[in-house]
Amino acid sequence: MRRRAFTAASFVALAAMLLTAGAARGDEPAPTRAPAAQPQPQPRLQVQPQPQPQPQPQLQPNPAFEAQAQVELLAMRVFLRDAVRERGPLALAESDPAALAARALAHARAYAAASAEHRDFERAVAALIACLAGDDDDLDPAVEALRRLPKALPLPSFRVSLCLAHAYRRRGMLPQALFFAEKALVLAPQSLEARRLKRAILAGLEARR
Amino acid sequence: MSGARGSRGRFLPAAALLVALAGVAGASGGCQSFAKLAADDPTVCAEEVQAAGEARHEPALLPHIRHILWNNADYRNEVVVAAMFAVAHRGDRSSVAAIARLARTSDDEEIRWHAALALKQLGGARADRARAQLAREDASGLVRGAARWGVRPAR
Repeated sequence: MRRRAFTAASFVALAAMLLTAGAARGDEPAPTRAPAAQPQPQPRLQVQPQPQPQPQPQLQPNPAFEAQAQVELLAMRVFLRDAVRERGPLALAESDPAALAARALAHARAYAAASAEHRDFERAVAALIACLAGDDDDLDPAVEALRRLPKALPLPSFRVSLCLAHAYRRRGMLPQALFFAEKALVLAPQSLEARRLKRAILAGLEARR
Repeated sequence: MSGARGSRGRFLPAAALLVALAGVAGASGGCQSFAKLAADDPTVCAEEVQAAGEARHEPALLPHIRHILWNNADYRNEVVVAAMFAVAHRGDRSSVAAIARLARTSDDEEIRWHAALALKQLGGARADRARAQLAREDASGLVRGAARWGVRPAR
């Protein structure tokens, strides 16, 4: 009897406590955000609209990379043609896009080598650009083919030099990249691309010291 | 007895892990990565030679890098360039004679340009004489400029 009274009293006390707590919680104001997040009157300078980012002025168009899309298309087209010949259009539809891209890059590498052999420098350069743009790690065959071109050409070429500088930099061979960037800059002193590249290469060499 | 078995049970996988790690370390160790350079193998890649130039703790590799400079005809140009960069980076003045010879005799503009830079970096009377000759007589304006001023920063 005593225990039952105690239990009932405990129950009532507990219920009262819960009710009080609930009422107290209900009385609380709704949680507010930190004062810093509340809209504050902004100083005039901050209220003013931000100036729109202006496009960087290009002192000179980037001739070395204009042919990039064309060569990617060219490489892809040749690959597709070969694939259709070999396997038919239906089999081609089942191809993995990554595998397609890899095959296209392999074609670009082969173009670079074959074109350099025939001294078709526009095509060789464009093929190397396709290799670079396609994030092709296996640049060696294309670079090896192309680096012979400047000596074979009657006139030194800005495009070839710039491409080789890019390719050597990609391979982490900064001293070699520096020579070709310097050569490109001598051939086209106003080239923004060549200047940027040379700056990046010099910074990389400095970081290694 | 069971404690001994338990410790053995813990010991064996740990030992196996150590052996495996040692195997991996051995397979990718520094010595093996300079194997072609140390063997004076003409198929050595430029990256290996360049890395040897940066590995200051491997002085035993210097004679092999100099071997490339003296036997440049057997190596690809980019390897010879990497060798010049490596000895210049290490400040190895005993390579000046080999580099001066390359500066005089190479018909490759890239080689002579790097020779000019290496001679400038190494310094000394002999290097300065070779560099002055390049600055006066080289057929390439690029090489003459490098011999006079080194690499100027891009504006």
